[in-house]
Order: sequence, then structure tokens, then C-alpha cells
Amino acid sequence: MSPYERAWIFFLLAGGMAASDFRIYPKINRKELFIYGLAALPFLYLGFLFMFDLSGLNLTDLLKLVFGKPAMWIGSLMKQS
Amino acid sequence: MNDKKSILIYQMAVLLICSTMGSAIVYIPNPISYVAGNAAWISLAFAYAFGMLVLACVLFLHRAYDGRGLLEMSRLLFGKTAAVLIAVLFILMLLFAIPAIVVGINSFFTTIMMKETPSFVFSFLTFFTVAFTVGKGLQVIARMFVLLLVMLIAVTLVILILAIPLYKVKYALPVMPNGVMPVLIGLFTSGGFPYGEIVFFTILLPFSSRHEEGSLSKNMYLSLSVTGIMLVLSSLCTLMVFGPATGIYKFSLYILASEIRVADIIERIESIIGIVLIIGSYMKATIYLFMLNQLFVQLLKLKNDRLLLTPLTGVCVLLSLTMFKGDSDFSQQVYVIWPLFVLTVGCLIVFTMTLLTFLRKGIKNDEDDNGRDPRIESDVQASGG
Repeated sequence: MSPYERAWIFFLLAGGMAASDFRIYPKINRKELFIYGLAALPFLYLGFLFMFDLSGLNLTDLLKLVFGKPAMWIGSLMKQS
Repeated sequence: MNDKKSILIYQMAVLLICSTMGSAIVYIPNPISYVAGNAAWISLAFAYAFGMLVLACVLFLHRAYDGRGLLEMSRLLFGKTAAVLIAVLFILMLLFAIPAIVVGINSFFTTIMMKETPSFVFSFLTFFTVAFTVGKGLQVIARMFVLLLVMLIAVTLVILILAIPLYKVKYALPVMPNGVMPVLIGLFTSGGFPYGEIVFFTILLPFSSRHEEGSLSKNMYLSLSVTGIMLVLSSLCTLMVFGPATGIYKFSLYILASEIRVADIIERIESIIGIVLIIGSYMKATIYLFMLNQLFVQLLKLKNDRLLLTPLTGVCVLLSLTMFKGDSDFSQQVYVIWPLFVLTVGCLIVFTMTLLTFLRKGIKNDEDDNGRDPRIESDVQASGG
């Protein structure tokens, strides 16, 4: 898929989300708006990675950083068995 | 928990089966047979015993803290900061698990049924259905999943019965040709996925009805036994049909169903197993998204419990599209890193909480007539409970 197609998919998803929460927006207070905005940040970041097909920092990279070495050791045990 | 939001005990037990057996019944035979060979079913039996231990801890905590959730329990035990840290760790676990479940569905479709269709189509459709179901609330989820679970178990059993002519007992023997090590590695994988995931029920158990609390443990142990039996059966049956090749087939139960031919009338019934996989994964993803949403609601003290549902679903959709770099990466993440994550973080937290609570309870003489710890009770009262 080209970045153009990916961008379309992302905006389709974002538009769908905005439409589904349309009824919530008028009722939320400042604190909730702030939390909603914070929750949207990882969405925008991941959307950026998706649109441009980048291999930026992701949740799995974090897990590999913590569990990478023991996972490799277990993986080698699995191959041996 | 408010009665309007609580579900019956048997419904909670059904949710336990859905989340432990859901997708595992189709996925588990392959990786466990790959590492443990003929002893795959023994690994699964030991993992079931481990699951019982995890469930016992979860139920003990539920009783000791008078039906409080993970966040409140950890706050009473470790304090506010540690409680937030524990909640963040559980959020990270769920943010990994939910996309991984949906990627499993994508992988099934794109490798077996609809090879030309891009995976984002399946991600969108699955997450749309999952988020819609979560939005309807736990009571609707519980009522609907009872029906779906009956269908899932019935279909799986029918497939396993119809496949009886294909079974060759010699494929299951010798039981442990390569010693104990493969069994232990199989135990590690299946101990983390699906049995270690029972720790997530510390988030869901407060939603069980308080009216019939006495039968909760019995129902939960019974439901975990159903999962244990079904997983051992599916693993043993695929092993008796494919022998050493079981570890090669990615969806061995699906391939097993494709081999069934009964009197030239019943054949090509593998798509039914496809339905089982989709239903199972959908139920599990729904339960986990509900838990994730609830964790955020409790952590941020939100009044509107639907506020973050859509952004969280959006994040999960994009994680499912960006997190894994191919099939081999997915296998390594789900069958090695995920069990390690669940066992070393989720289970360790729950075991530590259980041990500390048990130690705080002290000798039995300290207990009041209800079997509840007066010190924990006073903590609960002090916290406004």
C-alpha cells in the first residue's frame, strides 16, 4: 500500500472515531477533554507510523528491550527441544 | 459494585472460559506440540494446575478485600504510587494482548481464507464489533457470550467426535521421548498463554453479583476445568491425527476438520472451525477491551465510563497494524515474550499481593468470625469503602 492509501485509511478511522463520539463531546468537562486529548496522542503517533510505514518505537520494542535476552534464551531452548 | 452493573456468578464463570479458551483452543495445539512434541498434552495438564493456582490467588484476594478491584487492592497493600505503577503494567499487558488477539484473526484470514484482502479490513471490522459490544455494557456481553460459548464448545466437540476414525494412538506414544525439558518449555508457553492471563480477572471479579458470593469459587474452578479439559482434548486429538507434524500446522484444529469425511455427506467442515476461531478471539478481545477501559476509568476516576472507549479502540487498531513485523515476529512475541511478560509481571504481582495479604492475615486466631482480616477490614473502612 502507498502512503496515500494508508493516509486515507487512517483518516477514515479517525473520522469514524470522531463520528462515534460526536454525542459525547458537548457533555465533557475540561478535565475529561484533557484526558481525551492525551488518549488521542498515542493514536496520532501510531497513525503517523502507519501512514508512512515507519518502524518507530512501538510497544513490542519496549517489550523486547525488557524481555529480549531471556526471550532469546528461551527461543534457543525451544529450537533445541 | 453497583447491582445495575454486576453480572451473575455463572456468567462470570462463562467469561472466564471465554477468555482462557477463546482463541487458545485453535492456537495452542501448534506451538505446544512444536516445543513439547508428544508430551504437549502433559504440558497443558500441568499448565492447567498452574492456572488453578493463579485462580486460587485471584479468588483469595477477591474475598480478602471484600470484592474490590485490582487498583484498590494494590492501593491498600502498597500505597498510591505503587498502585498506579501496577495499573500501568496491567494496561501495557492489555495493550499488547488485545491487538495480538485481533492479529491472530487477521493472520487466519490472510493465510487461509482471503489471501488477497489486506489485513486492515479484518482489524477494522473486528475492532468495530468489539468496541460496539463493550459499549453495550458487561451485562449484555455476559448474556450474549453464554450462547456463543455453548456454540463454540458444541462445535469443537462435534469436530473432535467426527474425527474419531482418523485417530491413531501410536502417534501419541511414546509420551515423553525427549525427556522433561520439552514438557517444561511447553508448560512455560501454556502457563503464560492462556492460564497466566487469569490475573486479569482481578479487574473483572468486582463486577460479580454479591448475592451468591459463596458459589463463586466453585463456579470459577469448574469453568477453568472445562477450559483445561477442552485444551488437553484438542491438543491430544490433533496429535493423534498428525503425529509429529502437529507442530508444523499453524491452525492444526482447522486442518483436522478439513480431513473429516463422513460417508461422502459431511466433508469440508473446516470453515466451522474458522467460525470457532473468530468467535473465540472476538469474545476474548471484547472482555480484554472492557477490562482495559475499566482500568482507565478507575485509574483516572472518570464519571463517564465510555469516554475513552473510542480512543482506546483506535490505539488498539493501529497497534494491530504496526506492532508486529511479520508472522515470525508475531510467533516470537506471542509464544515467547508474551508468556514471559504475563508470568514475570502479571503473575508475580498477584502472587506477591496474595502472599502479603496472607501474611497480614497472620495466624487464624486473628481472624474474625467471617474469616476476614480485621486489619484489612479497617483499612477498607478507612479508605471509605
